[in-house]
Amino acid sequence: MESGAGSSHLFDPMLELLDQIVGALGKVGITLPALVVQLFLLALVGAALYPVARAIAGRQQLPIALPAAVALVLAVIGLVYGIVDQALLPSYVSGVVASATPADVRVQLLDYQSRIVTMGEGRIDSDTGAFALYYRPWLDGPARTIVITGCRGTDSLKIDLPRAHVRAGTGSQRRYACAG
Amino acid sequence: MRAQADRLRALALLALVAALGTSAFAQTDFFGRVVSGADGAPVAAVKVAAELRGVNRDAGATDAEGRFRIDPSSLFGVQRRIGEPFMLFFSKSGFLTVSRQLQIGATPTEIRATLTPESEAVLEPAERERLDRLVRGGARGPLFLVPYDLPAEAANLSAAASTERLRANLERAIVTHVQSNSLISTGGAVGLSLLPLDAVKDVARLKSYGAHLKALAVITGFGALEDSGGRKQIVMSSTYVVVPTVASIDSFVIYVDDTLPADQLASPRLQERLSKLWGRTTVLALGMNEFRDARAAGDQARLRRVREYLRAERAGAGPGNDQFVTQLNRLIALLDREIRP
Repeated sequence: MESGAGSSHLFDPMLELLDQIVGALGKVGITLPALVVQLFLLALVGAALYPVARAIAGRQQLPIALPAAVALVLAVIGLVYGIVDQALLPSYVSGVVASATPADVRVQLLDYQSRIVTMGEGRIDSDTGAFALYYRPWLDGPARTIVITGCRGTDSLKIDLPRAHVRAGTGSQRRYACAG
Repeated sequence: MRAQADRLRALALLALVAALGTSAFAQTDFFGRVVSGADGAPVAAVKVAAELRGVNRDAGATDAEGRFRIDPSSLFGVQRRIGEPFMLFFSKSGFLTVSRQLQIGATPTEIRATLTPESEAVLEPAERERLDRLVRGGARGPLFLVPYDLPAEAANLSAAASTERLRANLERAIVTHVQSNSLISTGGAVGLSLLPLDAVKDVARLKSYGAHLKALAVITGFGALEDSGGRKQIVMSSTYVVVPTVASIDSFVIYVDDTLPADQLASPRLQERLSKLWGRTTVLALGMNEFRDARAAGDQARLRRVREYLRAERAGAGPGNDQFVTQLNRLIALLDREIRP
């Protein structure tokens, strides 16, 4: 497999942390679209920020309140940035699957909870193996995994998608080798 | 004041030019032709569909020459989607669906889509080449017999000789049946060819052989030697695959199992069974072929003759032949549509 073009981003570590939080919520049974979870977290942080801000304004418990406020403000920035960032992501992920049986191959995108978020059949071009998978990153968050089925002799292939590739959209022609 | 009005006019003109340009760009038609991978002939009535952002739209079908034309702007309202990739699908029963990825607003180029018959998809390219080599030189015929996998010691014959004996039996059985009912224009020959391949038990592969060879039917089988009370006998299982040569007639398979004394591969009992089953099934295969040729020639008399013959076969089919009768009925219905009163 050959990695496609895509630049790393200054805020990517923060976004990865957010991904982990959202993923952890999914594991405890909160299975909502990424945007809903993010807004919920934002409301939670905002609610926590209010008494801290009041404590600072009243100059009470400053040694605790100040660092807490800084942490909460950073969290708000991270969340807002994450929401804006995913709203600006390209609405599709493209690539090429090399396969001997292109008519059987199907490609799908999974979200942070391994749910299929792709719209459409997920077929590839019979000649070139090219595909473009549409989804709603503003609602479902960035695609995390690409799943390729229908390769001869293989049940399915699951490949993690780096955020840089998701961000590249059409600018990236990542190649996936189908066994068979 | 006047300068402001001029500026507004210039802006309006610019907006109009931009709108017209975008519209013209977005209204790019995509056109092309769909052909069969088997013989390169155009394929009519192939369903064309387009998918953009998960929305699938019917884009019509190919004409008699396999041609199509689609306008994405009318399908999706694409003015705002220049450059977005979308997928075109070409599908028809009996063929693998072909898909093409295109871009909204891309420069129009002729699209050529080649449909691979579903039945051929099983064959590897090397296997197709091998079949082509085997039938090169005139061995191509309407019926093919793939060697039976028979235990050589059973009849004190080699596997090839056993199969050859079966071939002779089978041909006699089929010709007897066909001639007794004065079928069609076969002239007493059914063109049963023996393919020197390895024995095949996989029905999908047999269908693929048939489709690739443009055969009417492919026949094979295998036998296992058993010892029953000190007497050797062969438990035989034969497979007859009818390859559809007329749309709406499905491929179907008939199996015949029998137990024979080991030295009676040419026994009257086997011949009788083969005569009933293989002969009758071959009638359907030959009937399809006749129908296709007569229709192409516009020969009404020949079409009527085929229909009468198939009706007689249906009357004599008897119970327990539902699959055969269903296919016969379909073919007769097709003939009814073609025959003028």
